[in-house]
Amino acid sequence: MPAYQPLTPAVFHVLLALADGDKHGYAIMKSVEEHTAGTLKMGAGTLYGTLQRLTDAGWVLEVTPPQAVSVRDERRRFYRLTSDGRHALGGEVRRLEDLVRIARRSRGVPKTARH
Amino acid sequence: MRHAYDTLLRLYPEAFRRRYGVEMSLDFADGWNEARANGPTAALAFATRAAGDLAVSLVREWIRGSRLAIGAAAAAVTLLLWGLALRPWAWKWDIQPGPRNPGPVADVTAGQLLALAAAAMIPVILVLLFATRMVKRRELPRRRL
Repeated sequence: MPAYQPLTPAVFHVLLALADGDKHGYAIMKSVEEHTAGTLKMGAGTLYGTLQRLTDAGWVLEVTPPQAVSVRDERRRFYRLTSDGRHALGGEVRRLEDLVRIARRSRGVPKTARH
Repeated sequence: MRHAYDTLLRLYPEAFRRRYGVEMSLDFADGWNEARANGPTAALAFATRAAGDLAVSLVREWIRGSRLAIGAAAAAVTLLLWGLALRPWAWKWDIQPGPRNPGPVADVTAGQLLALAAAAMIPVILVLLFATRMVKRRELPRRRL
């Protein structure tokens, strides 16, 4: 049994976006859009609701903006993945890998989906 | 458009708005400018998506902040429904087996009725509490490394 219960897609994609480095909200949204090739476009309400839960859970941390940011971005908060968040992301990736491995072994799954 | 969005942001719970309102407004402005630069279709798609996100996240944030109040309201409504269903005049005439017989039936006092309705509420409250825990677990795993 995995140590973690499944993450929601929103939580998973936010953690994944922050795995690359500190980002502000808009950069997280753009990163999610890029990771999913435009299939998932996260709205501000969903994003900040998710960030609030992740911050409260200690998986994400608010950090001071880096020195080299534009004047506009100075008003934004930057977010960083904590080690707990990184472990949770790793656990979810392993869980998904296990699921895919099981599905690929199944004869009921179309061959085109097994590669 | 941004003014309209800023006005709608006031509908969020105050704590959420204070914490993220400025950033949400900035993000909307950036997204709107980018969408407008890509043409009217992209702008319309962006506005539709933003409106949908606003509607869904508004409900979610209010529910999250007011679980206790919503549970209490649900309990009150259930209590009222149970009270109506178990009203004494229904006991006298409907629950009697066999043909209707308006013979002597022990009267049910309001206190007894209330006690019974409250007892019937216990499983409902347990289900509500359990459902809330299930939602919370689905959002975030309970165990951390």
